[in-house]
Amino acid sequence: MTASEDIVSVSSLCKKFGKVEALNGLTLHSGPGIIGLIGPNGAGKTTLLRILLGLLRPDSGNARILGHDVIRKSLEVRKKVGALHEKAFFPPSMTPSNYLKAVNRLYGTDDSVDELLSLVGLSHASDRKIKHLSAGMHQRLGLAQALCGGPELVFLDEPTSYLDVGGRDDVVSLIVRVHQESGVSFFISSHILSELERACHTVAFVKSGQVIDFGPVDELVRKHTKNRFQVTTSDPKRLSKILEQTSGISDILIMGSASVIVEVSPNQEGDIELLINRVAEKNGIEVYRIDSTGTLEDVYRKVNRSG
Amino acid sequence: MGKKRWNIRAIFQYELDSSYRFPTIAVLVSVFLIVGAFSALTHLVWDTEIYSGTDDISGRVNYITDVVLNMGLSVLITSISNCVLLFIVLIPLLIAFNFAQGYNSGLIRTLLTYPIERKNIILMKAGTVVFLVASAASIGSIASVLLFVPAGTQLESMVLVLSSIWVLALLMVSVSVLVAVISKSPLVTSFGSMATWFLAFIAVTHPDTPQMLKTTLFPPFAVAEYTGIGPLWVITIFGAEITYADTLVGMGMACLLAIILLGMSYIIFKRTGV
Repeated sequence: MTASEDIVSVSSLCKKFGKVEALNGLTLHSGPGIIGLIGPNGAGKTTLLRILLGLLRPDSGNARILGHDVIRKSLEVRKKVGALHEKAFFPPSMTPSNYLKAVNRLYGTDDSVDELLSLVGLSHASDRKIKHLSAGMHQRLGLAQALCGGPELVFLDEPTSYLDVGGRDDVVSLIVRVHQESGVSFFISSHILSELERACHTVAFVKSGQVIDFGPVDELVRKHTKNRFQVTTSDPKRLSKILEQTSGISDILIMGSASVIVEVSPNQEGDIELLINRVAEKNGIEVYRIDSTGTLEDVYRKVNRSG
Repeated sequence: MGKKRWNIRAIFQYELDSSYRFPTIAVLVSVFLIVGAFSALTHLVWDTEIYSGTDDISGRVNYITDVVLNMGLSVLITSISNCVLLFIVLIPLLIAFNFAQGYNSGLIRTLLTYPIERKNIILMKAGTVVFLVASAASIGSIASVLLFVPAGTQLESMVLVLSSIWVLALLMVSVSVLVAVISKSPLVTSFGSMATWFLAFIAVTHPDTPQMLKTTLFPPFAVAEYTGIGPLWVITIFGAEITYADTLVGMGMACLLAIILLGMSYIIFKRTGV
């Protein structure tokens, strides 16, 4: 991908709040699609989003969105992007319908509010006051207002953090659907990795104000979890204790009451089954299955530790 | 996709729709109507001339006749002077809850995500309060005059009096906006602005305060002094006589000061992370 095709292009971005270094030379270049931003609390995700939206000024470095400098051409950027902030505030006494009309006027468009409400599944509550909407409806309204003005890119900061499982599924499905139907790109910062794994094409891992890994989700999962196996066993606690002292095992994690995630050292993958079965048999522990495993969550844990 | 048109009217419409729904506007106008009515009905009570010279009945009748015939302007000035006191409390509260509070609630962040320039957000927040408060005060005062003393007000004097309240509203709003962008706190904005204007009020009542400062800080009082028919507590503020030119210079200086303060607010707001 060439630089001109990047929708988000960030180079050596630094931002300090007093003595706290929120961004420490962060560099990221991403093309269109659904991009995830993953990292622990305080990693610099929200600071990055706010700089990209022109809400904060970086101390140094530069950032471009859709080819526009985010500081010098902030207004141009905001005409082409939408955003849903974490804990977003919308006027409580307005109705979703009236609010979206008001936002449309700010963008200078006369797009159909009914279509937007229908797209996010909020048609039935279009005339209800915002203060009477449920958390899920509030997030849907947030998504609808982010889609006002026909944006090319939408920033979402923790869009599912206050939702139940059903609500989270709905929001993720909606993001994927909007991307597929209208080609809008999304830049999502979230802690809920299973949803990001479902929705995102590429993810960036952010830690201590830097991107420590970036790439397509499946590639990252393959790259970081090829030595990871899930062992279903009769006694995961004891097995993990024994495996901790076994050479060739680099990481162990107990998962629930019947399985252990085992990561073997590089070049040991071939012997894993033999190794675990031998150790288990010697200690009277039953091993039912050994499967290779890998999710974004596993990648997150690994990258977070090593980064 | 609809045709993209961008205009400042949409910004003010957004502000009215989101922050000042119909009940708020109705309450504002009602408050000033009550102030106007109160001012008109109690106007004569405060006129000490009526109670003096008890022996000269015909002189007193002539005086009261004269007052009633010229009462329109006098009532207007009294009403506007009372509105000034209300402004000292009302304007800081409106800016605190509709602007400074926005830093905490996330409203400012949401607004800045839309294609609005920061200077337009300052103009939107300040302009809406000036418009609502000053027009509510004007409507309240004019209504009280029309209702109780329909005669006796010249248009020229009326324009001068009403202009002074708009200028004062602009100045007070600009002070509150500056406090809001510096503090980002509704509490500091409301109490800080109120304290500033109470101090200013005390300063203008002090005999040693320069006249120029008095006419700049409180143009309606200067107008009251110039016409000489305002409430007694106002026309005793100025030691020396105020001319027509003084009132105009005072209003001009107040406008200039307000523009400078709004400019400073914009510079600070532009450099502030949200």
